[in-house]
Amino acid sequence: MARAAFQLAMSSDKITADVFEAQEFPELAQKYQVRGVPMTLVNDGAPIMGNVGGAKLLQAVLATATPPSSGA
Amino acid sequence: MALLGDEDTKYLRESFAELRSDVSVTVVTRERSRLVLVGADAPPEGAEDASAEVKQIIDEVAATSERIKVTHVDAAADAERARTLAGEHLPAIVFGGATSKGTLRYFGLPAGYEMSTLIATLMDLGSGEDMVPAEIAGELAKLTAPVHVQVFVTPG
Repeated sequence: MARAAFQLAMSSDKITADVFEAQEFPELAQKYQVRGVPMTLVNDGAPIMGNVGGAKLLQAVLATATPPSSGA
Repeated sequence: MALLGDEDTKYLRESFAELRSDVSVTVVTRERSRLVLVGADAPPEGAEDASAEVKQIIDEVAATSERIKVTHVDAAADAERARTLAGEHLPAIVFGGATSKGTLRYFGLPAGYEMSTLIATLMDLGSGEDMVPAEIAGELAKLTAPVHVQVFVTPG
């Protein structure tokens, strides 16, 4: 997932991809309740667990451009 | 003592021979001070310990290719630049390349499986190739607001 995140960041100036070695940043791991790795967050949204592939990450990134539903 | 063995170095030299453009790697660390300043904030435990190893591993990797250009930033000496590059977290490795558009940062020591991520990222950045097909690039071009992707990993 780290490489996929980096590849997306290489492809868009809007994307910042930060990869954290979780054991070295326990305060962040605690903040985001990291219980397994890899764990991926897009704009602090719902965590994506595991090596699910770049397509799912791309989907989550593109979803940030979709206006939130009005709930109707 | 070197962190990379002879076989590792040979492998990297052969792999990086394929790099077609320069890759920039900025290593942001905090030098361990020999002075204890009363009232000064101590660096976070752990981050301080990994800084020396991060510097060493990046220097050893970069020594295998003239395409990899390393810059070191010491947060103790240049706090503003360090903060601009890495925010609040150290040690950090910030990657760049001729065609790379966004921000790529690795925080901590890339050990174990994540060492392969580091190598692959350097290869990607120096490949001179687009990382996504034109169709996806078109979709990404529609992004108007910043997107922050955070990946938590651990040495495997």
